[in-house]
Amino acid sequence: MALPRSPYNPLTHLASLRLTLVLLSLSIVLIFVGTLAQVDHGIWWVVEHYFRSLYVWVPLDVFRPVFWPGRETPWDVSFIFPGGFLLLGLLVVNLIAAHAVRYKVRAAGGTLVVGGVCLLVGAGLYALTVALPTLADMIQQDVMLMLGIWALPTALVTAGAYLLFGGRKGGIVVIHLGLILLLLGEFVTGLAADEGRMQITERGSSNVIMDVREVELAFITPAADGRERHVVVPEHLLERSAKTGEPIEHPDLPVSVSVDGLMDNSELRTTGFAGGDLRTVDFAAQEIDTVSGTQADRSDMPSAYITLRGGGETLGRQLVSVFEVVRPIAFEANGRPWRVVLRFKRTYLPYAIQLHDFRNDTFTGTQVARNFSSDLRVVEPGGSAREAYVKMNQPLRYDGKAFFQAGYLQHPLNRNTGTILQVAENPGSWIPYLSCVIVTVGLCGQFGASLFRYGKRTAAQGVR
Amino acid sequence: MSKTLPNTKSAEQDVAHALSRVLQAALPMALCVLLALWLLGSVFTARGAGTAEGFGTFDYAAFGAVPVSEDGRVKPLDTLARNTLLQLSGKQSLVEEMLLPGEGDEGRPAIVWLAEVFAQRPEARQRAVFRIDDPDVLGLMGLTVEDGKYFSMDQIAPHLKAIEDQAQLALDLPDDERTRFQEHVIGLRSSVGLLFELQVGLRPHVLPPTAEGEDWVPLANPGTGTLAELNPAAMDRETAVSWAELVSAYRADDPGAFNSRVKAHRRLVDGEVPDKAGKASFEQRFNAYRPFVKSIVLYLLAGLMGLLGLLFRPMLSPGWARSVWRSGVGVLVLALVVHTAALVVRMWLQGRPPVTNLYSSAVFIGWAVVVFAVVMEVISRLGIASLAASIVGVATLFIAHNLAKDGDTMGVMQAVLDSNFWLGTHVITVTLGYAATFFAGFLALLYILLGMATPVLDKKSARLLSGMVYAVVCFALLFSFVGTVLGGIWADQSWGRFWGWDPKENGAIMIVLMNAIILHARWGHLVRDRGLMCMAVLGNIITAWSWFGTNLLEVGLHSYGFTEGAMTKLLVFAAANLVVIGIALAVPTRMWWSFRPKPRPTGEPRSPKPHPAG
Repeated sequence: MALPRSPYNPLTHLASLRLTLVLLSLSIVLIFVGTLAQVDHGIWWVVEHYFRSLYVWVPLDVFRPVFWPGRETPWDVSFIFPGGFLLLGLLVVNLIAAHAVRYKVRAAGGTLVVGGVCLLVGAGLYALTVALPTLADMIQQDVMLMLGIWALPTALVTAGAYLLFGGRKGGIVVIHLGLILLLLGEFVTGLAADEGRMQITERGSSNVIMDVREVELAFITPAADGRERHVVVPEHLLERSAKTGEPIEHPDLPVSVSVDGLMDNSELRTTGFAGGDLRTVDFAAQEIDTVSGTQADRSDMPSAYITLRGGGETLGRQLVSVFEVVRPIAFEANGRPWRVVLRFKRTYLPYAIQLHDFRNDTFTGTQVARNFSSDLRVVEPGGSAREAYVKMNQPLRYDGKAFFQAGYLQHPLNRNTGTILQVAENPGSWIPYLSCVIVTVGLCGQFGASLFRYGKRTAAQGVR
Repeated sequence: MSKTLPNTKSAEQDVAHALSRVLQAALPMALCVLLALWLLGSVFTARGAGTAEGFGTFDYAAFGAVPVSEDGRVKPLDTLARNTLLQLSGKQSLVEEMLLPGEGDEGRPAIVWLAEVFAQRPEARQRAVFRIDDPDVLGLMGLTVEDGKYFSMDQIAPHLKAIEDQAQLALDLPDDERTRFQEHVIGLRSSVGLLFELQVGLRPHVLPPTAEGEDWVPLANPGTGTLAELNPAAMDRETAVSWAELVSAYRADDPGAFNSRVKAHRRLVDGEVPDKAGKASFEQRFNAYRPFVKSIVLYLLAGLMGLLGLLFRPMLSPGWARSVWRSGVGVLVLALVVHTAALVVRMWLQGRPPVTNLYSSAVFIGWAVVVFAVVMEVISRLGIASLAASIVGVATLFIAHNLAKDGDTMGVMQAVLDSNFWLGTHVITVTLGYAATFFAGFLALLYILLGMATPVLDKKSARLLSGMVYAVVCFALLFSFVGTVLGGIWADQSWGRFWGWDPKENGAIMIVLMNAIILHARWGHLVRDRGLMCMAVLGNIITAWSWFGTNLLEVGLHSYGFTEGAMTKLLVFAAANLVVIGIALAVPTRMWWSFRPKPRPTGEPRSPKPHPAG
């Protein structure tokens, strides 16, 4: 079954255990510097540059928080290091090659048949649990139920592996199968998972999911039957215009836009206040450092300065910002009123979610949150509705998405005026659960066997 | 046994031999019985010890058991007193510097000070309970480091305005731009504020609920913030009267009235919240028993006996060697019993699984290592596992003692962490992973140190020890992997993201990878015993980083309290481990004392095979 193990077979080198050790060691170093990098950069930035990349230039400055508390003057020296995708990819190749070269099927005859059947039936049952939509739903809802359902196929797969590969290697085969599944899950998550936020004010409703990692510039004008028309410029176009200075033009846009400056994170200061009405305050924005991964619970608040030009006339340089206190730019073009806002990237749901009530309980005499919860109602366009209660550690699962209680909106004057839900969608979210089960069984089998052998050996030596 | 008997028929020698056998059997038993008596006896003396006697006739013990609600938890005044004093001064009781002239030099329990604070007695202002280390903060008050470490409210009061102004300036800055001076000024301001809130009756919430749906309330009105205006919610509570009476009895220095008022107040509170009052009273006894201090003493004793037993084993007869070994293991088991009992009591008081914060993780890691070690010791009987456990036991409890300075060690949980299911599965498993990795690392340290610097690690012991390290690493991988993945599943259940690469997750996965590296290197025969040990020592550094380093990154570099300078301690720990690895790799094993080729015994041919460590 196994391929010949000769120096001329390239698989022999790919399968080398030395390569495994080198790759695992490099992974530890990468994760360490990726952690340190979060002192200066946002977690998503680090994930993109360190963990979901082929290589990364690591500045020596990342080591300074640990070794040199003073960080005023950067060193500006970097070294190149393999990125997460490269290391992970090589590890998978190494693992598969190792199995091809070193893991011989030891069984023959009846054992071979029984082992093979166990393995296949187990795999088939796994596939069945995942493929049946109702079952997949059930799995999402109840962890214990899922473990119960996966007990039989896991037992079959484990038995199959032990029968085929023998007592010393069967457990390792099971462990590695689970690990490959875990990595596959991360791959699916990287490709297909999405997450965003939803804000609903009390007694209001919303069908908008915001992605706080990305902004968009929206041009909004009234349309027929009380609706609105939104023309949206995505972030990459804004960035390009900010870099090249070229204006953005499109038939759907009433004017052309050039971005004079796009700030990934900003703070506002007031520049003018006509007195009386707070709505007449003018603001200026200035760029500040992006939120770093070690500062939990904060997110970047981008702003931009843009110039709008239409029909030969310019509206001048104006501020747009995700801060809601900054008023939209209003103008008229071709006889229609328009307003322009910078906002977090939106996705619209085909149904709406209403918030009846939001509760924020704290522990007696403290500001420590005891529980946040929201009374929600999901309203489909047809009019059918479903009540839901969401609190910490208890999300609403609907339409393949999960709505988690993440925080609350606080109006400057009165408290608890709305809820913030984290919305996550990940078709591969069950994979790590299954992988955890398989690897745990494999590890227990493998180490149980070693412990047994160790105990027998120690007893045989008859120490004292 | 029989072959070790001296080959003689003399009756005298028989008697001497029988006597030494009796002594050998008696030593461990006598030692354990004595220590057990001490442990049991302290249970009964714990209530009085250090609380009631010698400080007038005030019944501080009864007063310390009065339940109050503070920071979201019902606790006895004794716990409040200890924690508050710890926050202000870094001490759990009034030490010599905080005593007033004429009070002698014997320390007093913190509850004495708290009673003075509540009663607004002059002593409360005169006691030097504020610890100030920063020379610039001292300079602000016209003082220098030569004036001491501890200062009283009377000394600070004239400078309150300056402190407040500086603190306000500092508070306007983002956390990471503050200087050391500014952090300390903010710390001093909050300490002063804490004392003020205790004095005016804003803290703690002393009045229990009288009906379903009500909550504990403080005596003062939180709206106005002074005792001058009684909290409207407290008006119709009977306990408000009994509390006021006991405080004024103390102010009037009338022990008789105070003691009877304390009893009356406790009867009322017990009637309102019997469960909580019972727990609070138990917690006070638990505090007075100081189980972790007792455990530290026992671990030290067990460690000392283990070390001596190991070093002098070649000189002892096998009978005595076993007697000393039994004594050491017996003391270790006693320490474990106390440690376990304390862990269980904390779980019962809190109604939670054992690990809820950094403090309890230190207590739990030490406990788990000792449990692993006792199992390993019974299997291997080398005396090395128990020595490693004694060291880790002392170290972790000492770390826990320092972490306690950050506040209540049984504080309430943030909403998102408030899940006994996940605290009981993910947190326990991943902490067991830390514990097993540390245990393997400390066993490896002992292998290197004993192998190099002593002759006690013979061939057989070395082989057993290396098998032990391997087995522990296996468990470490199992626990750290399962714990890490369960953490991901918790995250997926709580906010829909299995893995987010945040510092704590990264720390956990680094431990998993390190253990995987060790096992793969050993399975592939790429390392022998020496290499295995060096890698296991490396695991110490990685685990310490995951445990503390990531927390240090999160709180920033200028944090106040224990974490200050913790990064330096972490680096020293890492450097020490690296030095051991460096020396172990630099010195060839044939030059290690234990593995030196022995001079050829007469009549036996020299073994052509190399020694097991390589």
